[in-house]
Amino acid sequence: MDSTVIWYTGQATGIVTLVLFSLVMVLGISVRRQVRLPGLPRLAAVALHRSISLLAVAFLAVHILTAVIDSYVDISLLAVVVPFSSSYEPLWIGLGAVALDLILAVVITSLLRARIGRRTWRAVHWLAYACWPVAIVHGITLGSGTGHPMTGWPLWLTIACVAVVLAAVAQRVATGRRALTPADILAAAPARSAAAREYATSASVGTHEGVRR
Amino acid sequence: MPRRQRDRTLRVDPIKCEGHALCIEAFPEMITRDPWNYPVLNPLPIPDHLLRHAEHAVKVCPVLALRIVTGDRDRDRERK
Repeated sequence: MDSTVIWYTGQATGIVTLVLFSLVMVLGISVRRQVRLPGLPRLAAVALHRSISLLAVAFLAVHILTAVIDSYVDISLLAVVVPFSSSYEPLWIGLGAVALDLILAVVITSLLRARIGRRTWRAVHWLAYACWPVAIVHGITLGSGTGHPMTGWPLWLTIACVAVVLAAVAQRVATGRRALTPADILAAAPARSAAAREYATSASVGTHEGVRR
Repeated sequence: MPRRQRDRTLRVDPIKCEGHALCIEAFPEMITRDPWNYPVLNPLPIPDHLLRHAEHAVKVCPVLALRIVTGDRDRDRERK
């Protein structure tokens, strides 16, 4: 394959991966109990979070493959997974390797979530917050594809992604971590508590009219 | 209705469940909402044509509190 094609493929898939993972971050940060993104059911947000992250991994695989195949600079398969072992730009390629390792940890534990239990999964999943900034730095420092820092529209795109993710984080921190307890809901909403009282006294608790066999 | 060996029913772990209510969105045919946003499960066996949706509901639970149990043996083991 033409070296230029490989180079463009590597650059393009890198940028797509950046946008997709930023989207995954925003979905993961924003969706939680009793909160949802406007216009998007939480079920859809969770489904998107999962499927977009797998799509991003596919783009990432192509991104890494092109970097290894490209003979213009020498990046070994080892340098892809072992941080800072690359002969070309060891630090910035190394950050990419760090990000890859963290992504693999997050994705693999997510796929095995039912087996490893929620606690372990959640602890590892927090690594996403370490992984994404590392990947951003990797993108900015090597994103021009010429060995120089990123310039022009890719840089603006990166800045936009950073801004959106930071906004999601700020929104989440600002609205507090603690989700509402049933007592909070009762205290806060008289209409809801009326519904709750009605529910508690009704005889229909636990019956379903929908499905019969 | 007598329970059969292969019947599959929904089961929620009330300790794990945090009321994210995603299972309710995913499988409204057999999971309804109580006033506190927690799920109320239909205790009847899951009809075969809805099994796919039940499995989806199990998958979307962010805290792994929902599962599908098969037959009476599971039921007896849990009581011990």
